Amino acid sequence: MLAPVVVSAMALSLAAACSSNSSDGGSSGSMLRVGVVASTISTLDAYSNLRSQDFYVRNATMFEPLAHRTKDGGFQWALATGITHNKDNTEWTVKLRPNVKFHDGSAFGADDVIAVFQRVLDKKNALIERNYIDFMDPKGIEKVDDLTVKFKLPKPYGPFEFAVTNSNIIFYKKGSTPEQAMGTGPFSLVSFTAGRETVVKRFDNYWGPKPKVDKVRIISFKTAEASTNALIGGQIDASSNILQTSLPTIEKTPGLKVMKSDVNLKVSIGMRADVAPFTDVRVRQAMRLIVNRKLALTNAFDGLGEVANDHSGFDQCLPAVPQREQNLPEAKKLLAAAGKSNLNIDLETAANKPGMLQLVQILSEDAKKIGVTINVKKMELGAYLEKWGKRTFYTGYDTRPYLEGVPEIISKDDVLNHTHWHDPEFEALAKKLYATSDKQEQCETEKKMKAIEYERGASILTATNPTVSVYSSKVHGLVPEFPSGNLYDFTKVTIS
Amino acid sequence: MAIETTTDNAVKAAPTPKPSRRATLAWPIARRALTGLVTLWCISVIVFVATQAMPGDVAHIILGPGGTADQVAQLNKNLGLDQPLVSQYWDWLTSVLTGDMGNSLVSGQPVSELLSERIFNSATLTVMAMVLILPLSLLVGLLAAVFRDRFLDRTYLGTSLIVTATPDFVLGSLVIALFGTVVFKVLPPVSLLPPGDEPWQHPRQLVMPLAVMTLVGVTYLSRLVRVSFIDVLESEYVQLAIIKGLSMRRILFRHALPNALAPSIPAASIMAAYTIAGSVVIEYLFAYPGIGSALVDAVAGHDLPMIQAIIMLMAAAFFCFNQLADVLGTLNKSR
Repeated sequence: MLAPVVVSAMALSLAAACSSNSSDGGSSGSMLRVGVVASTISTLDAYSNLRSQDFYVRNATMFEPLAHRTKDGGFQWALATGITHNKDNTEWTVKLRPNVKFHDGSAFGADDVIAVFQRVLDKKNALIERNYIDFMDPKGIEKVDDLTVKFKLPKPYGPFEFAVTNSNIIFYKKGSTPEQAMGTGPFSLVSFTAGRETVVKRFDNYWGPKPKVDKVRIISFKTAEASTNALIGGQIDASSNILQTSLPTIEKTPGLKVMKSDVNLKVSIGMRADVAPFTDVRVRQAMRLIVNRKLALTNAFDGLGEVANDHSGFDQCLPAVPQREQNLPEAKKLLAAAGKSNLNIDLETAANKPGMLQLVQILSEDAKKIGVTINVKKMELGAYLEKWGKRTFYTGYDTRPYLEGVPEIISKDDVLNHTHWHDPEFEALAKKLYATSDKQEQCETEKKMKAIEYERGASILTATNPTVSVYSSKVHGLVPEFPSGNLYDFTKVTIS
Repeated sequence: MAIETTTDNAVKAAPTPKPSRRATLAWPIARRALTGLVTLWCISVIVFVATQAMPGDVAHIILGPGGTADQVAQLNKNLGLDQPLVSQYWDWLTSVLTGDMGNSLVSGQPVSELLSERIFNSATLTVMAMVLILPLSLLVGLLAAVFRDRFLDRTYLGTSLIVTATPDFVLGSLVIALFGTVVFKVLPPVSLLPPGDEPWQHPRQLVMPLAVMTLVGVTYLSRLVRVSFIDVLESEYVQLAIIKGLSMRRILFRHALPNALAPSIPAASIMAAYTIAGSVVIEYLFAYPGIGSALVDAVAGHDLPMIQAIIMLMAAAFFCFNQLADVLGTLNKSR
């Protein structure tokens, strides 16, 4: 008696479900739906220490930095219109853009800029951004007038413009609450549900070119798998967080397009230079010669990107050194000379980037060919990070431009300089690099520093990878942001 | 044998006043409620200890590899994690006893605020799954018993064995590939529910997670129903009913069904409890915004107040369904 009723009810509900298209998570129209991988517990604060992808995309729509860095090493001014300095690079003056409004209509000015820098520099707030500007003295930041801020530094600092234009140093209204998300960006907040979605709408009083779409819905997913499925299923229009192994399926899916950014990620294998066996540069060089970089690129990184050459930084100011290739006999010779022919060592990884685990497995397999045993140990991320800076042979990754990365390479802090590599010549060049504001001189210094990293550094860098984004063919005007390669800029987007 | 009557005996023989039904029930109910509270407290201690034993700490996870030692120490101080463990646990417990589940360690937002809508979503998914699982299990189990050892029954047994042996995650991934992304593309592969909306406002989003939960539940429960029905169908009174010429429909629904259902009902309660636990995997797989997917994130972030709140909720639901199974089992025995 019951069975036919139940079966009929199920059939009806399934039919109703399948016939209804209106509830796929909103129609496209002038609403762009962007998928991001995010934590459940993210917040609206522009300076939250939670760094999942929703944080970056949301911030990029509602807040702005002083300037956007460009591929050619220059700047595209945003909230600033220019930065000047004195002869010895100890006093820098930032001119702010006039007639910039916050989303509530109030004017943006010097007080807001000073409040943000003071917050970032306050050690009590434990913000990561402090690492980029800790050359500043909080007491040395002065308001000259409503649109001018002066920074008096304790010692000369050349790449000041580069440091203060970090895309994470963004500005909100002084005294506003995080929940208000009171920025000056091209979109203003409509709604936010932690771990679920953020909806922003076009800000009609935006100082720059106004966005063409009415709204952007930033939808959070727990995994890249879910984000990829939603994209293939037509539930979202674009995402930079896709499963790379699904690219062949995506490329065959009608209505989807793939966009690759410039290379911006280096997965690294670190060797702690103050602990045996890596105190001996010959052992470090041998490890670099063992790995088959071409195989790593094709098998670990799905062929996305370029082969790298054991120095940090990306496509600019490259040193004149040959591309390092796999050379097992030479590696064997170096290990024998160092007395480490039958080396047996653990390599720890959290496998927290695509290709990381496969990379170390490739190294381990290649090492076996010359009698070296590398035991790959995969760890849970929390456990892995707990001893970050104390590991001997381990994986990491780097997405920072060279000028941003060097302070960590020369740092005395174990956590920042996790390889514990200290090279007097390299460190002297670093001092020179940060003392000058001349771009040409900076570039020449960088080349010399990269050559030293290549010759005797403590990281194995096998490949540089791009960020891959996928979007619906109905969406036009998406551009990968520099340098992250992610989809952050929606001002030019139209939906057909 | 003579019976000696004394005053004492007379007193002993006097009928004692019968306790009221309410008084008879009050003590077992109170005892079960007390057991439940003690169980929840034990679970809270276990979760607290287990979270502390997990390698890594919240500050390291939040700050990532770029967090310096002083930043980690400052963040631990800001989060109150520099306090002794007993003090941390006591603070949490006293807050919970006053109805405050505390704030998320990672986001600082109230746990109740972060979980309220998710609890409703998870409860909705579980209830809907049970509404489908119970009648379907009965139907499938009954048919398998009636057609015992025939093609239909053997096919069902083989299929249910495969489904039961396949992990939910694999089963869900196959369903996604089949109906959402690779083969047919007729259903949304991800359950995107706009915040504030009720789950049933978006039936298409629910089809796939419900289908997987139902498939898993039905293949388990219907096997129990099948065995119960077979036992009943082989009993003497059913055989007598057949000999007497009663119709099959009358035998099945009038005589066999009530007796076959009895042992299956406690199993259904246990099934409901397992469905709550199993929803963690399903929610994660389909990105369904419930407490299961929130638990996965909370564990990854070592967010103790969130973990405690979710586990407490799940444990309470599990405990209630287990108690229900006990009660139904006791009632069945008394019948």
